[in-house]
Amino acid sequence: MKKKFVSFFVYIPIIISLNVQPEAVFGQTLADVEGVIRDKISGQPLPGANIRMPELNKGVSSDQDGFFTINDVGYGKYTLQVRYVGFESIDSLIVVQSDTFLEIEMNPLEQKLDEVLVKAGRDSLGESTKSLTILDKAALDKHRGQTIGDMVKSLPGVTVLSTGPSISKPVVRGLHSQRLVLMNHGLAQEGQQWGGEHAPEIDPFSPDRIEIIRGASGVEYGVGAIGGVIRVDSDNINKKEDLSGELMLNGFSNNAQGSGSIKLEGGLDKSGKLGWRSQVSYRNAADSRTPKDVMRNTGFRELSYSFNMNYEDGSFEHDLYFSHFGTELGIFRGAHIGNVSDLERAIRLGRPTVDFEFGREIDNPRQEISHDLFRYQGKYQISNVGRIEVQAGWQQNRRKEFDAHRRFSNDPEALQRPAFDLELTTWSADLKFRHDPVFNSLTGTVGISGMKQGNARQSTGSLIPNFKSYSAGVFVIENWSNGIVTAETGARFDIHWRDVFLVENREVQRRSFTYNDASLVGGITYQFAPDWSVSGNFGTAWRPPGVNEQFSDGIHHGTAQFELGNEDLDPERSINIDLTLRHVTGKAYFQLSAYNNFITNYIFLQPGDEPALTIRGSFPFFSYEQTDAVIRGVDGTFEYQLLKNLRTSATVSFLRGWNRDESIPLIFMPSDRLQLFAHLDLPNTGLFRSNYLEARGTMAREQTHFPKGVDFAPPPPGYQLLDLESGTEMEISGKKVNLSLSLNNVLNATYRDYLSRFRYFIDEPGRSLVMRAQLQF
Amino acid sequence: MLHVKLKSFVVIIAFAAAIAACGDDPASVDVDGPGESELITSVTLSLEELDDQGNATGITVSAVWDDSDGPGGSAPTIETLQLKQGTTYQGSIELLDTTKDPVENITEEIEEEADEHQFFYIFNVDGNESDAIQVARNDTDSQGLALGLNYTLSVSNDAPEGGLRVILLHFEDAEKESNDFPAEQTGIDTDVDIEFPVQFE
Repeated sequence: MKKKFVSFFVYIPIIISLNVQPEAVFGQTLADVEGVIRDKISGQPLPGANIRMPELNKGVSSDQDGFFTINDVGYGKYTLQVRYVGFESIDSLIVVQSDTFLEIEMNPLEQKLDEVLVKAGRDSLGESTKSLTILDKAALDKHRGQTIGDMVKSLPGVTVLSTGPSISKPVVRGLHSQRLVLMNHGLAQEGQQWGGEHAPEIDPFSPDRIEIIRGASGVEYGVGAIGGVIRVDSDNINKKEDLSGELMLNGFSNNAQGSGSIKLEGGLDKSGKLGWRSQVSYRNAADSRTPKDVMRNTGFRELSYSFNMNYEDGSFEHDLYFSHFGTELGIFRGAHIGNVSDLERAIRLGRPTVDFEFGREIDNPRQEISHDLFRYQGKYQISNVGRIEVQAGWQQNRRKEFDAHRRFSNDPEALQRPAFDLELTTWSADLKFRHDPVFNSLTGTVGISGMKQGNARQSTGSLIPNFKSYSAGVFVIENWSNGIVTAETGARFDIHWRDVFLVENREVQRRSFTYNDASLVGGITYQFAPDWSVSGNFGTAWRPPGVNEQFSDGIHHGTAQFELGNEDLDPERSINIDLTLRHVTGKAYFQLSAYNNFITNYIFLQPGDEPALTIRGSFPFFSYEQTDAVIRGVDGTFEYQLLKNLRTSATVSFLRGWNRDESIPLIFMPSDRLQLFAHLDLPNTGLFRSNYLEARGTMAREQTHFPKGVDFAPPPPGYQLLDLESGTEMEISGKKVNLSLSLNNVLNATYRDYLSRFRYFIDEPGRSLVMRAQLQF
Repeated sequence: MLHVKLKSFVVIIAFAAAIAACGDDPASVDVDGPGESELITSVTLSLEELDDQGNATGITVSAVWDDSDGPGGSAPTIETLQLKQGTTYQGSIELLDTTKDPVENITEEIEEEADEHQFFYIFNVDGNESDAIQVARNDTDSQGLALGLNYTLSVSNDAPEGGLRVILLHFEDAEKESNDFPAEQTGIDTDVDIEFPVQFE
């Protein structure tokens, strides 16, 4: 084999040409791209690095000795991406016109903590000290058409809190909503996470990468990152071609869902400095069906679009991103109740006695939600000093909820008015300076950030009062590594002011609150053997009480409980310790984490002694109280290449939550679960390449650890689910087409999940055949 | 060259800031807005004594169950129903939404949608159902099933004190099938479920 040796220098992306030849021969013949990845400083090979050729949607990991091979690459010009945690990423253009051997050196000294987390293709050895998992584009593409929650629920430590098929919220190690920070393309998503039925307002077609960091991450991500962080990002724009893109279409049999997305991108000038990308996606679903019943009014219609522009010239980079998310979704009719007697009757009867007719119309109760986001990011590199980054963001979230309690009115306009209509506007600005290595290998970032937020009640509904808030934060984080040991530490201080405007006796009462506190992080990773590392991380983060927790005063009709807020609640603080063991070889991948998360002043709903009396009847009374809580658990993934064409993995999530003041379990904690997965590569046949067959089994145990006498119904029994999938890839007129066919809930199992808010009323959806097609051009 | 780039930096930030300035001012709250939609805030029972021949005597008694600020806030005010033992009354019920201006009379709407609504009147003594007070509903919907806006209430001679529970069901998705309480059906919303204390003169 004729081999060419090329060295990569990685301070900025560079272009390497191997005997550039006329383009005419491209695409005619196939070659193998091979190489070795080494640490530029130590010269040691880097096992487990991720190598991708995005145009071909091909990716491999380097083996124990740092070697990799990508077979059957058509002659042509490609991007080669190399990712390895703790090292600067590489994005280079390569020209393939014969079998090629690349010697790639990665520079560890430019290591930047935040980016390390983002750019890792996969969680590997030399890793951040935290417990984290990344879903890359290929993994996400397998779930296109589903919600963000459904995309991430196969990860260790992650479950979902669902309200039917259209609403699912990620739960990380038992915590969700205001205890997680959701980073949407660089901005902390400021949506309305007031309740369990308020899903994240993000287009599930938009991310090319989702990363979940488990455990307190307040220093890097600010107030609220008590339970962890979910980052949603897109790949860099492909500026090398005038126009390229991707079309995705999918169909779901269970709820007659059709959905699709089209993405276009390109470069606007010859030099490849200016690029653009635009994406539009749509999802439309009718009612979901359980094995026995129609879940009437669980359809949805969702239209989202985004636009991104990027300009990069030497040391400057500008990036503009705009996105719109819009959805209208129905809430299952049978879950709508007037009072506790209705709920108890529904639980006693076990399933709806009404024979609902399958349909696509969306009636009340329903939600109409939109989220607009505008973000500017600028970067300026000062050689030998560091990089300055600025970010400015604006977001507006509008949430309208239409109640099924029909108004008794002859005024048709009144009947159309939402019961709840809020507009939350947020703007934010961040300034960061990342310094170049000092004292050989100490890198770090200092930054300040500010945020202004306003919630304005529109024509109706006063569940959440109007409020204005301002936050400011300052942080520093430093990272040191010698290749064997990586250590990080950081601190942050935030202050949060809040003015709430209450209406009492037709007069506006203003209440002002100030909260301030510090977040800390410290961690160390030690690579104690070539394939093994162990990490310890200590993190503490806090959050002020939510406005809903302070000022709720009414009935939550979804849960038939009367909730009373408490404006004197103190901030909540998480003190998390996490230990992670990792093992990465060419054949095996293993990550196991154990954690102990103390939460002081944990805010929860405490059942009261006396029911709340209303004209609809009496409701159980709950008030927001605080206690000291602890959540402990173990989660991990074990992946093993059993045969050359058979990959297997197991994922476990196991946790226990305690109310320490009362020595009783915390309510609504996810039950223990285990997922088994097998991926079998099948031989190419004719046009069809990269054929595969996959099976996934999910086993969820019954939750036996819950406070007695609080809930209306005991947790449902455990369940087992089986999903099957088969897929192929082919080339049609030089364009790559991926097709897949999945059968979810193959056995049509009847089951309910403890964290489904519909479990009192109806089973989860039954079997569904899903077809997915993807065209890259 | 550097200056041009810095300038574009500033322009873009200014643009972003300008966009950021949009949005309603939370401080200007519309205090007269409709607020939370509470459908029924007040229920009134009006009873008129009947003589032995079943004729109206003109002697009336009434009681109001009122929660004009809806759930939460101030506790509801509940009037006691003062009745006579061994007496029969003819009664009616009135439901209002007093948060609206003008006050919305919901009784009329229920009459128009009689097929979807049904009242139940149950006398409870110490939490147990008792027939010491019996209520017969006198009006029906288009299918001939009981509605209950008008009723006859009979108090036995030895009736103990207790509570008269008034329930209004809204047959949202379920079909109204009988005159009995639909214990085996889902898809029904309870619009009203209250109890008036009953005392005797």
